[in-house]
Amino acid sequence: MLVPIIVLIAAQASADPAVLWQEAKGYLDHQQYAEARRVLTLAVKASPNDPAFWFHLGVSCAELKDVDAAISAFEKARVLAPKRAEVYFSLGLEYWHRADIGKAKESYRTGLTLDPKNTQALQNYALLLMKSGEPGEAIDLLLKLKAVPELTLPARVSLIECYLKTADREHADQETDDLLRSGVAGPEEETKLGALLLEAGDDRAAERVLRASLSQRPDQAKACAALGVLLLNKRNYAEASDFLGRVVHLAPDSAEYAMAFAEALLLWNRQDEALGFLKEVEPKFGHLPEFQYKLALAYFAETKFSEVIDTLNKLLQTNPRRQDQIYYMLGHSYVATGKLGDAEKAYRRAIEMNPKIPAYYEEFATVLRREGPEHLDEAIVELKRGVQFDPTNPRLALQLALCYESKGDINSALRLAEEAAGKEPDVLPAHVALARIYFRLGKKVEGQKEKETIAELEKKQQQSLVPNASQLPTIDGRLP
Amino acid sequence: MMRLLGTVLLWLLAGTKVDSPPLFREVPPHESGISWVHDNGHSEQRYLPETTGAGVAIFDYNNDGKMDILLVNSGRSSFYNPRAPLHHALYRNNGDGTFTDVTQQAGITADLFGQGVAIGDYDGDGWPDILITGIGKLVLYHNNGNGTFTDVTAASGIQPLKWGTSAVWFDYDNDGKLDLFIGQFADYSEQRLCGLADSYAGGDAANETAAKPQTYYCSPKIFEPLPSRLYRNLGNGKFQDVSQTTGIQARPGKAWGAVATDINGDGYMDLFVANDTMANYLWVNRGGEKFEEIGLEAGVGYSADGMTRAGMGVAAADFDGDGRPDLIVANIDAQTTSLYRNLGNEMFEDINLKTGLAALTRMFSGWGLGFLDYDNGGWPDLILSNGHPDDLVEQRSRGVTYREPILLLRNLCGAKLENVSDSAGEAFHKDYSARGLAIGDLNNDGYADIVFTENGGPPHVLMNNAVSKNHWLGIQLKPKTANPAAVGAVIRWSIGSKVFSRLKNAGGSFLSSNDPREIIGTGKAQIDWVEVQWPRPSHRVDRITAPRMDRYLTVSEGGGMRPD
Repeated sequence: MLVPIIVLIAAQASADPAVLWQEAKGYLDHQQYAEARRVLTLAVKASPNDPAFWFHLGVSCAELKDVDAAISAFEKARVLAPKRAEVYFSLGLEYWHRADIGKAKESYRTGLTLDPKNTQALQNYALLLMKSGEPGEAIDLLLKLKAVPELTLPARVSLIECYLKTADREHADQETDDLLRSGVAGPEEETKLGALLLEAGDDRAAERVLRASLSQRPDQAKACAALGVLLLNKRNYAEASDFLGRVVHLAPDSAEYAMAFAEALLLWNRQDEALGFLKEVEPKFGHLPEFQYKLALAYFAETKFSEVIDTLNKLLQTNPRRQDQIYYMLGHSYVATGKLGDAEKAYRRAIEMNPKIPAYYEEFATVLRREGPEHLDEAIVELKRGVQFDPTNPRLALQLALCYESKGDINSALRLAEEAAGKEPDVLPAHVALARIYFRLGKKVEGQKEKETIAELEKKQQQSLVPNASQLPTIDGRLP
Repeated sequence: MMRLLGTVLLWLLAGTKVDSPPLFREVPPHESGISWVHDNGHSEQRYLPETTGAGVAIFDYNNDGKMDILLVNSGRSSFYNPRAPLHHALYRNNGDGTFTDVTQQAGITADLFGQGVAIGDYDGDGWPDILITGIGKLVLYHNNGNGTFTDVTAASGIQPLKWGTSAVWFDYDNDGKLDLFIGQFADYSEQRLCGLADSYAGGDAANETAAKPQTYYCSPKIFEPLPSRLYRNLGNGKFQDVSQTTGIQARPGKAWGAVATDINGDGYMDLFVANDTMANYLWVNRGGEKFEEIGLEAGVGYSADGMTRAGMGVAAADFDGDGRPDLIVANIDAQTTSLYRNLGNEMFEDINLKTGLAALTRMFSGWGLGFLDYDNGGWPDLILSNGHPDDLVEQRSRGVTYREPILLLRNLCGAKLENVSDSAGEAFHKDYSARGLAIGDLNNDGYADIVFTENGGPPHVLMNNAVSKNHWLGIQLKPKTANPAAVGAVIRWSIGSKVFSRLKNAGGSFLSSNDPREIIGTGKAQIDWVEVQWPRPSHRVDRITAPRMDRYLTVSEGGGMRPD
C-alpha cells in the first residue's frame, strides 16, 4: 500500500505531462487501471492535444468496463491521430461492446485500411461480420487468417461456420476435411466444430468431426451425446445406442442422456434391454414424466399391456405434456387387453385434448364399430369430424366405408371404399371391403377384379414372408 | 302396498338358492377308465405341429348302440422321435359310464404325428371306418365288423399330405357314396425355426437373435399355403383325386376346420373351410362337378375389418331358425369368433357383435367347437374350446393366457348368446390347452355330452346332467341308396302348426368327428310328425307321425322305422 500512496502524492504534485506519462505507464504496466485512468485524466487536461494520452485513457476506461468513457477517449484520439490504426481497432471493439455494430464495423473497416495485416483486428472484424449476419463478408478475412499459424485453428472453424451459414456446403465439407486431415484441431475444438456443424444442420460433416473427436478422446460426454442423438435421428439405432450407452456411463446423473439412451434402445427394438436399463435408473429418474413415458413405451414394445396401462395411468396423475399421446397409447393398450369400453374412453380423451389428429378418430371409430351396431352412428359422426382435419385421409375413408357397410348403407360404403382403395392400392382391407361391397351390389365384374387384386396382394405378402432355402438355418438350434 | 309386498317377495325369492346340479359333470379318468394322455412332443425347438393338438371322434365302432371314443395322438415324424412308442386310443363304451381301451385289439396302431380324425362308412357295409390325418402321413382303417380294423390306405389311392388336418366324409356328387375332403395346412418345414420376429408375437429379428436366443413357435403366416384334397369314392375301396377337376386345387390354403353343408339349398353339399392367416374358403358345389370358392363374395372370408384371421374350428347349423344353415368359425385371440348368418343368395352377415359372441370370445383363441342343444330347448347352443397356441404367450402380459376356459353359450331364440359357463359345472371353471372337441350322447339319455382334447394333456369327458328335463327325439339314419352317412338329409318335424327342419351336415369342429345321430330337442312339447328327406340319389321322403318322445328312433330309407 505504501508505494501507490507515494506515487499518488507525487502525481498530485506534478502537472508535467512527461512525469504524468511515466506515472501512468507504471500503473498500466501493473494493470492498475483505475490509477492509470486518474493520472491520464490529469494528463489529458495538461496536454489535451496529445492523442497518446487520450488513447491510453481509452484503454484504461475499456479495461475498467466503462465503455462510454472509453469510446469518448478513443474518439478524441481518433480525431487527433486519424492515421493510427490501433485507435480504430480499439474504438471498434468498444462500439461492439456497446452493441453499436454499425459503428464497430466502420471503425474496423477504417483501421484495416491503415493496417491491413493486423491479424487480431482481422479476426475481430471477421467475427463481427459473422455475428452481424454477414458471414459471406467474413470469408475473405478468414481465408487470410487461416494462413497465420497461431490463428489457423479458430480461423478454420470460423470459416467452416461461414460456409455453412452461406449454404456453401461443398466448401464447408472441403474445409472440414482439410481441418481433420491437418491434425491441428484437438478433441475439444473438434467437438466445438461438431456442435457448430450440428447447429448448421450439416449432420454428415458433424458426424465425421464428432467421430474424429471421440477417436482422440472417447470420454467426452457431450460429444458422445451429440453423436448419439445425431445417429438416432439418422435411424442408426445400433450405433446411437452404443454412443448413448457410453454417455450414461460418463454422465450417470444426466436424466437427458438416460432418456436418450432408453429411446435409442426402444427404437432399436431392444425393448428388454430398455426395460432393464429403465428399471436400473428408476430410483434416480423414476419421478420424471419422461421416464414414465419411456417406461410405458418399453412395456408397450414388450406387449406387456397391463403394465403399460398402470404406468400411463400413473403418469397421467402428474399432469404431463402431450396427454393426447398418452391417452392414445392407453387406448391401444386397452384394445390389446380386450377392454373396449376403456379404450373408447381413452381415445375420446385423446380427441378432446388434440382434435386435429386423424389417427385418433380412426382408432376411436374402430373401437366403436367393434363394440356393436348401436355405436355405428357415433363412429360415423366422429370419423366425419376427423375427415374435416384431413379430407383426403384414406384410412378414415375406409373406416367410414366399413361403418356404412355394417349399417347396410352400401352405396355410401361403395364411394368411400373406392376412395380408400384408390388412394392406398397396396392396402388389403380396403380392397376386401370394396370387393365385398361390389358383390353385395351385384357388380360381379368389378368384384371379381378386386378379388384378383386381393389375390395378387396376398401372394406378394406371402412371398415376402417365406424365406428361400439359402436363408434357412440348419436344425441345430440356430436361429434364422 | 301390494306392489311393495310383491317387490319384497321377489327379493326374498332372488335370495333363495336353488340347489340344482350343474349342466355338465366331468367324469374323472379313474371313473371313466380313460387314462390315455396326448403327447404333443414339446421340444426346445418349438416345432409348430406341437401346438395344434389332435382330434377326437365319437362313434359306434362296434354297432352296439353305444358311442365309443377315438383319440388321436402324435407319433414319430421327421421332427419328433418319442422315447417310447405313442399310440392313439380307441375306448369302447361299456354302457355303464366306463370305457375300455381296445386300441391294440382293434389294430389302430399306425405310427404317425396324428392330427385329425374323420369317421365314415366309405364302403357302405354298415360299419364305420376311420381316417386319421397327420403330418406327412395318413391312414385309412377299414372296419372289419368284428372289432378290428385293417389299414387299407395303400389300396385306397388316398395319398398322404404334407400336413393333413380336418377331413370330411360327404357325398359331393350325390352318387350315394361317401367322398372325402382332406384339409391341408401349409408347406411346413421343421428346418424353419423362428425367433420372435416370425412368431405369434411378432417383433424384430435382429433384436431376437442377438438378445434372446430362444425359439418361438412360428407364426403360420410364414409358411406357404397348400391346396386341400378332394377324393371321389369310386367304390371297391378305391378313391380318385378330383382336386384338380373340381377346382379345389386352384386355391391353396392353410386349412383347419372343415364342414360340409348346403348353404344354398340346391341339394349339393358345399364346404366351409377355415384357413389360418388366410381368408376362409366357402366352396360352393356347382352341380356335383365343380366347386366355386366364394368366401369373399359371401362375406365369410375376412373379418369385418377386411383382415385375414387365424381360422380354426368351424361348424354349421341353423342358428336363427330360418331354415338356412349358418356358419361359425373360431379364431385366435383379439380376432373374435365369427357367427355368419345365412342371408340367402349365397350371402352371409357376421352377427358376432349383435349376438354378443364377439365380446364373449374376444380374448380367447378358439379351436374345437360345435352347435349342440345342451338343454333340448329347441335352439342350437354353442360349446367352444379354447387355448392359446403359444406356450410363451404369458411373457407378453396382454391378459391372454396359454390355458383358457371352455365356454358354453346359450342360444336365446337365435338373436343373442348368453354365457352359461358359470352354471355349467366345475369343468367350465378351469383352464385348458383345449383343441379337438366332439359332441355325442355317450349314455344315450338324449342329452349331448362333450369330449374335448388337450394339447399335451388328457381328454376331458363332460356328461350332460340333463337338468332341463326337456323332451327330445333322437334320430339315427339308415340310408339305402343315399350315402351311408345320410349327409345332406333334411329332417323336418312339426310341433303344433309350426314346421322345423334340420340339415344333416358332416364334419365340423376341429380335427374331430361328432356322434352321427341327430337329437331334436323340443322343450316341453311333443312332435306331431317327423320326416326325413333323403339326399340324392334318393328321392324318398319317409315320415312317422306322433313318434314316441325321449328315445332314439332309427329311420331307414324306404320307410322302416324302429325305436332303438
